[in-house]
Amino acid sequence: MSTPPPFLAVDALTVRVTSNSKSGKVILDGITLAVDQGSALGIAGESGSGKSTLLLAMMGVLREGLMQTSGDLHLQGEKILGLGDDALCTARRGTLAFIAQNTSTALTPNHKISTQMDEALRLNTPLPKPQRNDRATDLLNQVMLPDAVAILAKYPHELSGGQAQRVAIAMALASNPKCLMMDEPTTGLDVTTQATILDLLIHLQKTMGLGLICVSHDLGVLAKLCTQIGVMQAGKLVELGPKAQLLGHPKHDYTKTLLAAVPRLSTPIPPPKAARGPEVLRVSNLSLSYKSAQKRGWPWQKAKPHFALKNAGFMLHQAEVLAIVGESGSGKSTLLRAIAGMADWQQGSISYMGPKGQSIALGPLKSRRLSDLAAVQMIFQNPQSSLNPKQSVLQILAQPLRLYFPQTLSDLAARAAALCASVRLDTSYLPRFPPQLSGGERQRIAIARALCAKPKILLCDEVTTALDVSVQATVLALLRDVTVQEQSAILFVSHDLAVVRMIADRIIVMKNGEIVEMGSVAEICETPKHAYTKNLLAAVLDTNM
Amino acid sequence: MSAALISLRVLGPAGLIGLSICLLHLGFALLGPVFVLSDPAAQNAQVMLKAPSVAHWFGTDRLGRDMFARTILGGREAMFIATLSTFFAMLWGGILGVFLGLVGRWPDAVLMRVIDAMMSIPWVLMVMLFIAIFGTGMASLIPVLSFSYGLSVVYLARAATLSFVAEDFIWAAKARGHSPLHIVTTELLPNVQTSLAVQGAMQWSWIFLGVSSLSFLGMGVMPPTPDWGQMIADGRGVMQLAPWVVFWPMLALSSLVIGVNLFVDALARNFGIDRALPLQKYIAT
Repeated sequence: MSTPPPFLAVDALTVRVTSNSKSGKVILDGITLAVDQGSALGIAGESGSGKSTLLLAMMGVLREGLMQTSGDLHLQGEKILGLGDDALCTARRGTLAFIAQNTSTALTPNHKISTQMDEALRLNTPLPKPQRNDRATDLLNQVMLPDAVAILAKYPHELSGGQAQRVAIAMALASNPKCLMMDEPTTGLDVTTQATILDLLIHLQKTMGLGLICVSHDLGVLAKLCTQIGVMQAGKLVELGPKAQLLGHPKHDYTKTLLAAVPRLSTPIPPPKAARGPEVLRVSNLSLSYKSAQKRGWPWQKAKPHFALKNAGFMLHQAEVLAIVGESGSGKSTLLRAIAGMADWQQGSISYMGPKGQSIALGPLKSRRLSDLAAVQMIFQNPQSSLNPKQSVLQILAQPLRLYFPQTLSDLAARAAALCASVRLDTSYLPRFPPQLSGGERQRIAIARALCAKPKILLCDEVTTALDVSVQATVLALLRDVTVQEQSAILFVSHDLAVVRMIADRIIVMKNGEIVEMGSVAEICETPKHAYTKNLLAAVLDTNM
Repeated sequence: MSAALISLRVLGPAGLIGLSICLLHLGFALLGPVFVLSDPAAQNAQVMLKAPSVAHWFGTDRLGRDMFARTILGGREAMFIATLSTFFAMLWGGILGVFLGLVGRWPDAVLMRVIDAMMSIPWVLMVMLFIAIFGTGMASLIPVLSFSYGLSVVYLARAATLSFVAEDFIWAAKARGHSPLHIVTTELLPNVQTSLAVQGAMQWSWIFLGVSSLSFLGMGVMPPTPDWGQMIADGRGVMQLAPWVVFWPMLALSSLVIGVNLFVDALARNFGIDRALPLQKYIAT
């Protein structure tokens, strides 16, 4: 008796980089898995693990420069890898639909949503034009976009991130697919938006019997969305199993370390530091507004100012980690940039504690003295853009050393080596260039560069967002050590409350430029008072089963 | 030594051909006077328009001048003018472009419109006007070519700068308190220099072609100094009768420009530079 073939079967698939010699780098190494129709499979892995390549291969596509060296891949019993473009489209029509990672680039910016929806329907269904319009409205309603007619008349840039992602899902549904293929479907969205998108996907799966194959670095997303989870490491599928088993009782060591590194709300809060040090930074009544970018009208009409910060005020103490949490547009990054002198504010004041304990006011960047500049150092979100690719690590570290301590030119290399050691990198890194380093190593160099100045205050802007989870944990531990060894205070901006819990002493919650709640980690995470804080906490995804 | 050989290999076959052509031309230009013994300006009524022979390898022109000597030596002056003009064009265009890219706001808006207006004037017209006023010769050719070709360098340098000013490493340097000069020299220039260098080499070949065109029109390199553009203009009347009179200068001129283009294209590919920069649309003018 023969059982029907599974919906999608991958059999010992190996994909290598095409090269003249026989041994191109292995990208996918003997992947075997089967997906039944209507089931939800999640594939987790860190950057470079091959998870996106696997997803594309399951859609019959190999990126330029890759080749299949062995194994097989069947979609409903049909081989799809290596098919021509037209045959591939036919095979995928009504079976697979893809949702790209970044919807802001997946939607064509200069066509209205109606045009783009219509195109998807025209290519995938035999419907005539008037019925296509109705179908487009239906689809948008299906993804719970309330005012479908208004949405159809808009351009992609007029939509919010969540709306754009819903439109992308609606377009994917145009061909009545049996399975949605998603590459990091919620990365880049705010946590509360992410929660609603995930709810929508689960709803679609239940009501339409839709299958989901989802690739993500975020185990929390997969735990919420999928029933089966696979973990990939360096091209190998190291573990695959039902969600409860994989998350509750992981077998493979890599899965265990990955799970251990995931920040979660259930871990006990580290005990607060016994004594609060002296105050090192005071921000009072800070207000900052921009001229509204979407100004319409005559030149003599005044543009309505857009407030990025409204009366923000707080104090930061020595060796303390104060986290600022909020979603995009909350003003948390603007606050950090104002303190760093990169944004000019209209009202309020910023001052820090000078070497003799006196209070020194900080003005715009040009008005600051060298000692003021050294006292406040910033670490950026993405080390790929904050480190000059044309400078070696030694040159990068030498810049602030030369600037702030011109008398130490003789032992520059020794100082740089000591700084490297303080971020747990050895001297072999000094002659290397940023493109030769991994993401975590780069961020450590960025931290070392900030530490050069012996800062009183370290400003961290989403410093772990661009990093893999396992790397994130080590960077957080490193920052925690800095507060102990260097007695620096840290202002830690993040969108992720679970990350913040691991490092912060106190938390500030911001929304629309205002501070809505401030308190210790325990107060904020366990007894939140403001409704927005409760929303944020509810949106944090947990991997606990 | 082996490292140099490996870096040559990345140029690919087309790039290597281009490089060899460039080196060949460079060799002729530098060593020409050493092995060309006959005077390229010496006229001889006995041997007018003679086909290539043992005595005159490339034949002779309508005044009986030796085409071999004239072809070998005919690129020197134009190359010299092109080299100096490129240098000055890159210098002023680069400095202004980087400055405008960094400063932005009204200086950028105003000066870029002025440059737009300048670029709408065909360079030949600009150069002819200049020569009509000041007369020809290196002293007037180099300034006017540097000026008209430097306009596009402003565009390029500004675009290259703009692509980096928003990067966090520039912000980081500003926030640390470095001086603008320090930021330009240590943070910005190392990133824009490769694309500027590649564009400079391209610029050279355009200016060289420009000088040759001017010579063809009788406004560039003046007799008795031999020049390819001038030789083509000189021989075009007798082209059917004695094709070698235009063949050799045309071969020399086109091979040099093609050689430079092949070589620079390979370099650009190797550096990962997209040569289809905003500049491209201005080449035609």
